[in-house]
Amino acid sequence: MKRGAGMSRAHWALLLVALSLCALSVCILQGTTGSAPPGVERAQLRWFGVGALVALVASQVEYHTLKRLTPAFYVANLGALALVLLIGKRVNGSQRWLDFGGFTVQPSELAKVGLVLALASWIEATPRPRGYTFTDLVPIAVLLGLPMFLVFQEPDLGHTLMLFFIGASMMSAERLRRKTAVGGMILGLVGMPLAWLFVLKRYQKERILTLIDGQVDHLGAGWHSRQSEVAVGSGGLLGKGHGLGSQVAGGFLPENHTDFVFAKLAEEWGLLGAALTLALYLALILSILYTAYTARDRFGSLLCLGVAAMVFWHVVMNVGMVLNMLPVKGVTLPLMSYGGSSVVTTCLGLGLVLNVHAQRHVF
Amino acid sequence: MDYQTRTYLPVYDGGETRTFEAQPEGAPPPPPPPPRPSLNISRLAFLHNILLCALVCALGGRALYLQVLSRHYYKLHQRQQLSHIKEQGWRGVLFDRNGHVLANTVRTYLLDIQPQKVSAEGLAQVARRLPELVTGVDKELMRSLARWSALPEAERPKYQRLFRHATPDERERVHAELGKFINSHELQKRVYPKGDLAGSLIGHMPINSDHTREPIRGVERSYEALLRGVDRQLTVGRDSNQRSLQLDKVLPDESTRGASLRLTLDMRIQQITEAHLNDCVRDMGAKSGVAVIMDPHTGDILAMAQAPSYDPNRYNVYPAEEHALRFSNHAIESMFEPGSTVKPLLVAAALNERVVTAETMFSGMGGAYNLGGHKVSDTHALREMNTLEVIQHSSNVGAIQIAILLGRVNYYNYLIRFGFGASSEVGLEQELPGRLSNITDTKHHKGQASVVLGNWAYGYGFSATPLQMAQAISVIANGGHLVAPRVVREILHDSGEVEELPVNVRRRVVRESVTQTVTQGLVLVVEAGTGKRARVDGYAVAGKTGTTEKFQNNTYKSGAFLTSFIGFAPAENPRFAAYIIVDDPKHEKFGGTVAAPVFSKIAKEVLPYLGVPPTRAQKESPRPLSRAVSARASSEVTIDYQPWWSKERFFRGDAAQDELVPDLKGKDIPGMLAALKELRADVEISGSGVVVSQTPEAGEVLPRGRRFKVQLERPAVVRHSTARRGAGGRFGEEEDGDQERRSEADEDAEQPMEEGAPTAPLPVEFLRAAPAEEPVTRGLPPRRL
Repeated sequence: MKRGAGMSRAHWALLLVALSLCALSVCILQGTTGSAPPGVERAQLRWFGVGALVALVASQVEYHTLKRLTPAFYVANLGALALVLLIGKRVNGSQRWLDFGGFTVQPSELAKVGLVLALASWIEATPRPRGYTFTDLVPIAVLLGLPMFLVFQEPDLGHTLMLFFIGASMMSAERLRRKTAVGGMILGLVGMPLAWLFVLKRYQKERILTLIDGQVDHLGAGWHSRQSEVAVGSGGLLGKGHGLGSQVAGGFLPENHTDFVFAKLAEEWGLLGAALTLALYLALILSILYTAYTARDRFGSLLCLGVAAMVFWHVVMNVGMVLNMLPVKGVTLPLMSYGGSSVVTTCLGLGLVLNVHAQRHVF
Repeated sequence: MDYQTRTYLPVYDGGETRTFEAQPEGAPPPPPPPPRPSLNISRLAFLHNILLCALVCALGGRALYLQVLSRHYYKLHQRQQLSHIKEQGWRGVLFDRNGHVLANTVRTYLLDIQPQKVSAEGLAQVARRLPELVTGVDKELMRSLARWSALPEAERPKYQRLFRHATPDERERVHAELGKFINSHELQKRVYPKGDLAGSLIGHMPINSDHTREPIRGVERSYEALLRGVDRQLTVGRDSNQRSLQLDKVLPDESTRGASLRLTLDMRIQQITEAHLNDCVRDMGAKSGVAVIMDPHTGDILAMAQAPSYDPNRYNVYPAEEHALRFSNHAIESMFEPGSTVKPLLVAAALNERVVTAETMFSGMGGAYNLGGHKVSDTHALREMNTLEVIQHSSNVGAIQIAILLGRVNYYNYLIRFGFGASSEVGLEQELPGRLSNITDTKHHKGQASVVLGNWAYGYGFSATPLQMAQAISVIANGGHLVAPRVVREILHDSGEVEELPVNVRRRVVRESVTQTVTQGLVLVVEAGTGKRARVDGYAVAGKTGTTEKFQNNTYKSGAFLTSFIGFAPAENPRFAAYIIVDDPKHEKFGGTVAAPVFSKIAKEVLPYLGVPPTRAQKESPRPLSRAVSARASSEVTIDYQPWWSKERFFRGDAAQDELVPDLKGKDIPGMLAALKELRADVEISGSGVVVSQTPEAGEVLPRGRRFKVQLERPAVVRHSTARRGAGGRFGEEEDGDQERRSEADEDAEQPMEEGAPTAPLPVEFLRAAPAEEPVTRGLPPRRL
């Protein structure tokens, strides 16, 4: 396989947007006080370094090689998820982290990339031009369901839903038979109450109820969402100024360097900053979708679509949570939130996109 | 990305080609496929993308709503993060007149905890460590904390105050060790370093629910506007644990400090006064006592004492039923019928109106006066008496006659002029004006006006505060001016500016000569009348006792007495005036036996403290008795009432056109005043002691202005010690032999009224014999005025 001339192979638009988001992240973390550890922006910078290396590797290895490695990667992911349930570090009542003495890894993050790769290669391998039937959907459901089940056992509703949405978005590129579509909808309608009754844990239900009735208990389950809403709302159009977020400084807003970094951003930089950030994400997603559009093959295309879905749903769920529209769960804002697993996973995904882009002319 | 090249690229498409294959045969050949995306834009994808767009729009709209359209969340953030703290101004200091601190403000810290937000270990640690770090923490509370640590968080209380008055040091220690669990808030604490000294005058500041303090009594309350300084509305950021983010930076600065006050109070005099008053109240089994010591010239309140009083530092330890007794400043908040202590004022008014002279004689009327059908009696019936003797023996019968001479309207107006019935302008908020009904309004009294007038003559039927009494007697002491009492001398503004409050001389009430005559009568009271127990060795004391039956349960016959003493010292050049009243003493019941000794004890210490040299020998023994003498010879018949056309009134001004100047040399001040009394001369005194020179000289014809200048010098002590023997005495040698004999027999006996006494007035020291106690005056059945 030949490689094109270096410069033209790089996806400059995507790189530019991604780097802007990284810079934004370091900026916003720089003024962090409160619950965040000191020097979090330097730590984030280090993770961006690691992420860049991962992205470099991911973008340089020929991605059809990766396709061959996909089953192994997927199984390894399932193993890691199972391992987390056995020996994971317990934080706030859920077991999501593998502790490697010094740093921790969140396998559910990597599992998303594993799922994207697995679905992409399965869908490519088994084309269903007339649309999917229920039977066709079974292997896909298994591929999707296995990591979902494991992640849900941690329990991590956020990532469980995340995996589902990524899968659903990727499937949206496919056709469903009408019967299948209608049946799926009915199944969903019946399944949701059942899931509410038998699957969701009490605290998860509480969070959802909190969302519906935000006034429930401002010091209990509603605290995070309420405070984040207040933080965003108090930012106004232009914000309070960098580092001057009183919600953050006052410790009203926990996790303001990780899951709630967008609230801090919206508080300090106002609607303007928030809109700019969202615009950057839009640009990132569009450039990934463009790559999907121009990919050399269906695998690359689906891969990009999966990564775009991953970024999109992360942004939607995170920002939705910050704006108190969706139940709170540990979903990060890609590249912005501090955290090694999240950064490396996103970089890995973007590296794959760059890879697909670089090889769009190769065949 | 160049689209040119892309068209040449083979496109791998998953499903599309097969979609085309599925088209029916015979259809027109499809147009050459455009460069198609490798992605299906299926209906599902379309729905999916719509969903995504909707989600993005929802997020954007939500952000727009939260951040820009709705102000609600902005206010919410303000409400939870910004506390508007009312920071009270830094309260000024109260000093006594010599700069001793009476009240000060210190910084303290309120420590509290939110048990629900603290771990079990944290609570246990607080319970264990806090009593070691902060002294005075409630042990029971600490046990509660330890108990709560075993409870689940939800069952613990949300908030608990731990300690209110941590010092800055203690707060530092707590912060260093337990700062994670305990919050602290700055407070001001008012401290009163002298404890219960002048407590009821100074007042106290109870704590409000918001930890601020508002004064409710005393100087603290009355001068609140000056003392409190500038309140500031601080906007303070708070974190989620309600800890303030910037409060520590906001320490009181200049701009918030209130003014400090230098009071007129003299801490030492206050101590002396309180000590003797407390002793008296305790020893006499009295209910309470009040004493006001005042500088008659400036109106400075040197002491304002009461027993029982309270310690403003510990205002919350007194049982509720004692609050009225302890917290009220009775010197201004309680009104008493003055009783006989009003007689000098009555006499002063009558003298000033020239309706009587010192020598005007009054009938004893057999010891009782029929006042509107009620008998007003004297304890010691006198056959007759002159004006000064009315004071000396506290004769109700005489007083009624003087009041009738003075007249209803005049007496009322003089009482007003002496400051009764109105605020003394002392500047204390709780001051009562006393009760003085308008006696000139005869309709109101329904024909009882003369009875009311008679009652007023011996101090019933109207009431006054102790401060008003002290103010009134100061008129006599300072030569006739009504000087408003004051408790604040200087306002020390925070800017460094010192604002001296002026002496407020409100009006001249009586002529100076009148005050000298009355002083003479008051000296008689102490030397030879009802107030002998008020005597102070080495000093001439002027004073008047009062004993009234308390009006209780709608009757004056309750068996409870108010005993009082009013006076000043030294008589010749008063340095302080005092009013002392003891409420309901059980063991004694006379002003002369209860209140007068208190005056004596106070004066004994206060006069040397004020640097007043003794004008007489120390340990002076009782003087030989002299008969009470006066100008009585000139008027054999005493009339009860002198109409204006009577000879006595009509000619009183012309009687002494060619009087000769008496020899004053060797006389002390009371003696000199006695010699001058019927001359109605003004005298300018310089020095102290006895007269060594005088202008005009003895034997000259009295000049028109009747102004005397005398030079006094302290006599050698040796001369005083020989005075006892009589022959070497400074005055009145010719009577000595006679008096010596009587003195042993008649000490404290009722004074016989003898005729044929010498016409020349004698020094007051010789006027000794008197009833042991003043008569107990009893009010008439009450006519509410």
